[in-house]
Amino acid sequence: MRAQDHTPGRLARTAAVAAAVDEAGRRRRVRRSAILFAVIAAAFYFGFIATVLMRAAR
Amino acid sequence: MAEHHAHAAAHADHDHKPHGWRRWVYATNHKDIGTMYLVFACIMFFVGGAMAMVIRLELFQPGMQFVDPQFFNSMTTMHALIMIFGAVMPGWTGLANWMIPMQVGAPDMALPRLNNFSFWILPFAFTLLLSSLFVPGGAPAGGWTMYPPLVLQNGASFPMLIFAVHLMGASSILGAINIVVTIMNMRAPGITLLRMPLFVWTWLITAYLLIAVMPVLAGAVTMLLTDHFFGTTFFTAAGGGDPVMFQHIFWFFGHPEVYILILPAFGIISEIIPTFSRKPLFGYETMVYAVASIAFLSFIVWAHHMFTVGMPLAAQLFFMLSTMLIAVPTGVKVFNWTATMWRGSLSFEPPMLFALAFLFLFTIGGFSGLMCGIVPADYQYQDTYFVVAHFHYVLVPGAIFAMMAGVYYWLPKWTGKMYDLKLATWHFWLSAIFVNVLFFPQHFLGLAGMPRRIPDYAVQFTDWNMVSSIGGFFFGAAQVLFPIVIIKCIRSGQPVGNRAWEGAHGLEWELPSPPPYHSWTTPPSDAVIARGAEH
Repeated sequence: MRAQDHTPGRLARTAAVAAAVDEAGRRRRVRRSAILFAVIAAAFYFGFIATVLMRAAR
Repeated sequence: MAEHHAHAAAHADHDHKPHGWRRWVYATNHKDIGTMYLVFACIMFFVGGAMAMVIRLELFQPGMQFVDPQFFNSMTTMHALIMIFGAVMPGWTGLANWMIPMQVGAPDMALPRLNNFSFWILPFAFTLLLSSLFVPGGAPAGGWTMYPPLVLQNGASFPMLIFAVHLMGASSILGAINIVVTIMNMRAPGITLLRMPLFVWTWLITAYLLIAVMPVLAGAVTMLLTDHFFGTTFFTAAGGGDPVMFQHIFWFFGHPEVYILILPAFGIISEIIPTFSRKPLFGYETMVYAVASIAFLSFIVWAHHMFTVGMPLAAQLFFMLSTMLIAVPTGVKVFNWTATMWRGSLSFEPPMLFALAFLFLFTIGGFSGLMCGIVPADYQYQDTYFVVAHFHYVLVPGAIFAMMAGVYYWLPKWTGKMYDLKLATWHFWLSAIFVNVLFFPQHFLGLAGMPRRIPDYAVQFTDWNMVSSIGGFFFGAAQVLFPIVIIKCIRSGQPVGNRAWEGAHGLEWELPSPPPYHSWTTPPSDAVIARGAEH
């Protein structure tokens, strides 16, 4: 069993790992929300054209 | 060793900024991109303003003096397109780029390369639009609303107009996505939604509006394009299409667009009035809810722009009443700004002067908007100069004054220097006086029945047109002071501290003036947030 790391640098290393994990999570959230809004914008674009087509078909 | 120290010193300011043209062409820094947006908006403001001068010159007297009717109509169309999509919208995006990351404690925008792309689309879009002045048939002349079938009669400029509008729309949508994503994901720990400055809030809501309605405009102009070139008949009555349908779609975009142009102004005014009243903003949360309500209502009022096309009485009543309803949250905001000043320790530096002028003059534009929203009255006002007076009161002493207030407010932060307050005060007073000389008589002209979008008019309209034109020339000339103040500030302004204005609150004032190239690389501490994020 490995001895627990009680060196003064441990906290700093843990914080760095936590920050990196958090940064990765943030990048994922940024990417997901950007794609979501792009999809919403595309839906409005095609949706309105489709609405006019459906109205014309009546 | 000495080399090591020099290296360390070079890194101490964290300014790893590129130099020369690469800094701007490859820019990903939010401050650089914000600066480019603001410079672009300023150039477009003067280009669009020059077109307004041509319009007022021709209207100085009845009869045809200087330009032919086709060119006059091109001027009104291009003036509107350039001012809306080239000056006001990029101006707000520039302020958003500069301020939002600094105000929410973020190191930059969430998507910096997309930010670069959003900006660099714009010069191409406007080069394309402006170059249509030189093609056979001249620039688009059917009005910025692009109503068919008139717009379909444009010559070679038609596809250029459509492509330019598409590019502007793409730029706005990408910019809006970036702003929403930044605000939702990049706030420093401790900056909760209800601790964000009002400018950030208003931009968040504006960005949602942009994402919802710019694609609708893009869809509408795509259908115009296929009607013109591919034989479809979306809006052509002869083929079973409906030209009125275009008006519905256009104004479904167009009315929220009005709020896209004005909501960031509400945010800036909500920053400036507390600073120069030395009091916290009265009713912060009600302001947020009021802005959200205005944004929601903006989606259900579009047909008030087109009462006279003919629609069922129930529809007219619905759109009239929903329009009246917008006065409630707008009134809340005006009363909150007034209450903020109540018993405050007021001072009247240029940002506050512009903010106060906004408060009075935007309210005039709001009231004349209510008048236009009343169906029977609108039958009288439709397509007259009354409508021109109304929307210019909303957009010039409304949006443009607020933007100038914002620039004068944050310029010391951006440059680290204080500008010439006396010259800026001159800029304010000349603008405030002549904007009224320019636009107020247009109410009288409209009520007397002068139609809009005409190069010639009946002689009884001469006097007020002359007054309006004189106001226009002086207002235009006064705007030259604006870049002079800015350039003079950059060159020889007096250095200022972090908090350039005594009563300023907000995270941006916790940063040095000018802020480092990369700010908030470490998120602000709780203490800094507590000190800075008071509203």
